[in-house]
Amino acid sequence: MRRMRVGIYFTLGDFGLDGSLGILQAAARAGAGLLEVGLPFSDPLLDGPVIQAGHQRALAGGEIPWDDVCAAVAEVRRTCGGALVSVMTASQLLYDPVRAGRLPQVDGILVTDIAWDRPSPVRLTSPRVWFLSQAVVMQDSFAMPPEPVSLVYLTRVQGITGADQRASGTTAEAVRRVRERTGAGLWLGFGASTREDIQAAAGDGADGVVIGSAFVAEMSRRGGAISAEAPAGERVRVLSEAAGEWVDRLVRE
Amino acid sequence: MIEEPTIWQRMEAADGFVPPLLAPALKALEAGFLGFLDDAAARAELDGLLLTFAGRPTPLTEAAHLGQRWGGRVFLKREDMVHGGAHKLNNALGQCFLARYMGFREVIAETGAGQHGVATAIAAARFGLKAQVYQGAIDVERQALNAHRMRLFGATLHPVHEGSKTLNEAVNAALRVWVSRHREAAYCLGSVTGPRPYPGIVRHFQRVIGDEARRQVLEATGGLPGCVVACVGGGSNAAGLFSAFVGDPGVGMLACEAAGAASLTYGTMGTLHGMESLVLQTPERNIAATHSISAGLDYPGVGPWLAGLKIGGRMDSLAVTDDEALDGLEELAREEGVLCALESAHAVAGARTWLARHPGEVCVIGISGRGDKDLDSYLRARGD
Repeated sequence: MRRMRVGIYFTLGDFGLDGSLGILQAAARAGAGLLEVGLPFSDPLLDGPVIQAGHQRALAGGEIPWDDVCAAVAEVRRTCGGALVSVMTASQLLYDPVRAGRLPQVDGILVTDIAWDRPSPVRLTSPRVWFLSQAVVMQDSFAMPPEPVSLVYLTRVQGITGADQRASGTTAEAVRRVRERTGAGLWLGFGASTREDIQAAAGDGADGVVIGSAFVAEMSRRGGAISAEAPAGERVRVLSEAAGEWVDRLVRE
Repeated sequence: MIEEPTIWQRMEAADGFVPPLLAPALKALEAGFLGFLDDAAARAELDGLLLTFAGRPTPLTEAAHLGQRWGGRVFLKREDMVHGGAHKLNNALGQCFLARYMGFREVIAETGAGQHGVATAIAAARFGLKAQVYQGAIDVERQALNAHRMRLFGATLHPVHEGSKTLNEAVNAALRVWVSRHREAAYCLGSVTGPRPYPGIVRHFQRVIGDEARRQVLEATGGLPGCVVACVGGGSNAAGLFSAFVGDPGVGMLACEAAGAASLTYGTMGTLHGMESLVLQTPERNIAATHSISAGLDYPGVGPWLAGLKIGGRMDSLAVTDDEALDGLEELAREEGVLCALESAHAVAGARTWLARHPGEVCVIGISGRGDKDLDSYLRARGD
């Protein structure tokens, strides 16, 4: 069985920019192979309640200026050399081409609301992450992407993000069909949370699994347990440690 | 020679901004809709239901006292007389018919004021479909009567507690559910918003308002009006009314928005709920919080067809305050014996403004719904 890589999703600005940076960096140090960095947005359409709540926490203290978001993305890229870094965002945040052009280059950009067969209508500063659902992959008309892709992100389930989603039974066949068309790294996402999910993904032939809701829920639980009076540095330290432990456990087992 | 499409046609037909998970469902819907358009027997069955079930055609009533007071001739297109109390049933009946036609047994819908939720519940009951309706928790409270009606019609009502707890979050919640359940449930979208093909489908089912009104005003006055006036939240009632007049260059079109949710007047281009349109947004491009006394207009975006009309200079928009709308509701009730919805009251206020600038002319106001549902809001606002 191939060696599986574990990726995590986290929203920038959740627990503050410093908190989210600390969490992403700790995850990379613990061996996460992919950091999926969510850009905070008022109306995330594709996310289940856990990740929605992360976006709300990120914006609860007011909007984060785009320059600060871009600087934080650059910082993740600079300090997390061992991991692939991709940005996950709604098209609305990249709608203005000048603004979109300021986003630092990373390994890939996943725009959640652009159909798989449509060239990106918004400006991308990094190659596109090809975001595919299994229903699309299993169609006869399934074909190569309209532009170069960095990674393939294939959903394990039919619905929105969430650890309680059940995996589709067609994953292995879907992986095979994608592999026939591209040599790009193939990651499975949505509805993955446990060691068993990772093993199943390995059996299905993927290169890695991205874990979102289960990781965010754990950070939220650990962050919520920190006293409101604790200094900011202490909060970042506790969350970073928690992130490192969590990823380490999944990567090592 | 083939005519170039107008900007409003192009914007309505543009590809949506949708999660890849939804793309197959939207393609199937478009194919189903085109099949329905080609099926004369199916169209005749739906047309029959508009007559025998929905209560169409609705009257065009001359508001003679308002005409005298404002200095012109004023006609009311009475969608308040559609079964259920609002124009929403035209579309819900069409989309639920389409859902059944495509083999679905369940529909998902969002609702703001509750009128689309009620209309969907009615249509679903008529066609034997299960209805799941999502409504912001604040709207559930301020439109309690509609919540009760939906339940009576057999729909399951899901209050949405996220964010502003109004229409925007209800749309988010309903779309999220649909992403997970589009194989077994159709999405019955309530306005000319969302990704293609919804703006075109909803406008198709609502253009009966304009087609009737155009015929009726020609009959009543022997000519076309100077202006058609309608309220706009997402814009289904306005799009339905304006569709029949857009090709008449002499007929003005005025879209009346809530001042606290005026995407046509103050919005900029962006993407929201799968569409590319005028959107109220913050400097950091988050979706702005909105306010209106009328739940049906409390929405930060607007249908792309209407946005195209505004950008292309074919239609004007006017931001109407809560107070101006309340005045409009009172004046229409007192002078004409018609209690309109708070949404429609924005159009009444707008028509008054328009006639003040165009004395002696004829205008047609789209009365999108009746005001019984708004009495609590009205009494709270006016402190009685």
